Amino acid sequence: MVKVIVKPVVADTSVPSDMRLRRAELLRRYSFIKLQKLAVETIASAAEAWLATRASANDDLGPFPSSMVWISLEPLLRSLTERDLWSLIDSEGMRDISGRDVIGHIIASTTPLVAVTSIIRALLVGSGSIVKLPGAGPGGWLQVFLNLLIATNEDIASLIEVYAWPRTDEQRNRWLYNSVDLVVVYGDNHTIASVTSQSRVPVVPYGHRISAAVIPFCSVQPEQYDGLAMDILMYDQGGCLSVHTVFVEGDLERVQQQAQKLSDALSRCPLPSPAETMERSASVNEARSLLAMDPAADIAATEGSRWTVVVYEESDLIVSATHGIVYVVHGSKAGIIEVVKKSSSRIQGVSLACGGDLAVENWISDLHETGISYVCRAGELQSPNIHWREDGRDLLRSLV
Amino acid sequence: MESLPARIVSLVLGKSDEDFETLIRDLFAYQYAHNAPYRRLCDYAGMTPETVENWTEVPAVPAQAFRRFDLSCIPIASTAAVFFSSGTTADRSSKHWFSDESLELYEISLRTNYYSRFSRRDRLFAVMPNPLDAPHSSLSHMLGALDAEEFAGNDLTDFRIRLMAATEDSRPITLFGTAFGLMEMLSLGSVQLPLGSRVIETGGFKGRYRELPRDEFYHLLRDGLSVADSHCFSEYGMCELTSQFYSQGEAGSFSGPRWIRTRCIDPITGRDAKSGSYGLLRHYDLTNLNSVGVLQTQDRAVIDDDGNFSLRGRAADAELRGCSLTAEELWSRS
Repeated sequence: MVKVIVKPVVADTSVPSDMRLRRAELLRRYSFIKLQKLAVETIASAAEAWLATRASANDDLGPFPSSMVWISLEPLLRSLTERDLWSLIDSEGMRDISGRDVIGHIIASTTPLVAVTSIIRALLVGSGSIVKLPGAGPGGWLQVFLNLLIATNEDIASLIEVYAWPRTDEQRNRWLYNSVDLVVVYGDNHTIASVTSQSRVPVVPYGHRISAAVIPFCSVQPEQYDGLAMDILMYDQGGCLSVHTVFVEGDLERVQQQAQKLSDALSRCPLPSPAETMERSASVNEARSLLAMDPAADIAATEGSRWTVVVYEESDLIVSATHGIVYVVHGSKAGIIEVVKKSSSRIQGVSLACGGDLAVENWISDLHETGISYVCRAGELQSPNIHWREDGRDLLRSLV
Repeated sequence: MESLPARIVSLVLGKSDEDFETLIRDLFAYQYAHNAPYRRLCDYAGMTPETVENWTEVPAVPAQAFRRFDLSCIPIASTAAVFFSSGTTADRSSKHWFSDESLELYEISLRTNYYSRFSRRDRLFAVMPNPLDAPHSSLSHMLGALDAEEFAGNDLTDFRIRLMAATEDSRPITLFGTAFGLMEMLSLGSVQLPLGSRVIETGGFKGRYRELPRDEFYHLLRDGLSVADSHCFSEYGMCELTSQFYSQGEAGSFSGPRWIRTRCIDPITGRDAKSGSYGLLRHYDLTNLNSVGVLQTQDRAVIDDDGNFSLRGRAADAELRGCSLTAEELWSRS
């Protein structure tokens, strides 16, 4: 019986992980072809069981309530069928091709599903995984996933070890680098620079990005504003798929109208509100005061410390200073496309709020041409499926 | 009727008993009229000189505003001096612009405040850069205005030798320095200061160097400099604030001069934190003449009925900032 996999610390940092030996033993028992097939079947079965039971992490284990996480989790799980997984493998030409023996996953992100998708990608290329979560990391959801894998197939589950330690623990960081053949790191620029400078093995970085939304010049239905509100408020605007800037096609008068409608949608958004803390309120108060002093900013509406809608004169991608601040800017379609193109290395995804199918299709096509890997309708931004080519790269091939 | 700066100077020098509330509201009216970024903030808050009914209603600017905006009531080209903060994480420092009048007020007030607490007879040694080497450091400027006898500059070894030579005279010494500088100097060896000497530390450690809990730091000061706890002081000041606060002894709370008032604000309600609970410090400083008189900090503190406060760290999202870094940065280059 495999014991609990999420381990708080590495017991002995003088000895590398035995993951490589474990994987070699599995490859002696199964051929790689069989191991890959078993991985696909196990992931699909575990996902199906998760959907059936709707097992949730205890809300206390993570910063976000289950009801919020399930909005992202459900579309992901629905895309984890055997057919979808083989489709992903084949789309990157990775059938029967092994990834590196052992992959290290450094998860500095606070959003709870990053580790799950990263592990799934490693399993699909038959690699072992050693996962490092932050000191107080999003372990709860990962534990649910691992329990389901264990219940489905212990051999596949044995390809995963999960630990949590602070990034300043150099001894354990070195242990990780000595135990793996490749590192996948999710985090801010500082984290990535630190990992890249310390690791002796190749590093696949997923750096800090934000997302944007576009309201094209077309009729927009209330549910599309509601979708935008979800895209903004999910994970307290803290994920790479969280919207910071809304581009409105049109003039200043239209942007003010759209800002008002967006504010109305934010007011009625059913997502749970984050707890009001002194730190949160102080941060939001400060940001609003600075905005009030900025001649280019017009604070259109606010609600507690939950959200702030700001109409901003400059038509540029603007990063939120703190919780729930969203900038609404305007421009022509060509101008917006130009800004997105210029900022494409910083933008993870773009959601579109528009009623007309043809207009949406045109915008999707134009936005894809700017290099944005994920373009979707409003409300779907935080729900990518397993096929999403994060950062526009080959997700499995990068693990070889 | 005297001008506003003259009225504030009179209060600072104890030559008038004009009430604080009248002066802070007149200062607000002046700054609302002449400081455009501040006026925008007040208009957003719906608080103007016509609508404010109580001194506590005068809007506060966040300290961060000094980083983003030129908060000056006169054109920048006409200012007499500017002091920069030493930031730890952001790429831009705060800038505090002074007019001729506000610089004069600064020097009068800092001397008045300092000499109301500390003896003029003591020799003053400054563990920080000389104002000539750091012309934009408000802390160095302050020690220059207090006629400090010696500055550490960027050579702590030489400074320590000069300090030890000074101890041969029995006259008490006041050693005023950044926490970082004092600790660096003491790492070279202890210095037995003459009887009655004092040490004043400021600036904290700012997260850039090895940090010491306050009790350990005070223990280090007492042992390393042979001064009693009652002769160890802390100064609380910042580039964005013209006035200073001082505390006495390891357990002492900070008190300011009569021309500054401080509230502890609960940022969730925007009102004063409940008695005994911590909040964020908001200062109403009459000597912030050319910039903005009311400053909202991210410093967490508990305040007593007399307006004296004890620090409890900083709000989590706040940047680490302060004067100690200037010295550290200077020394790191030496």
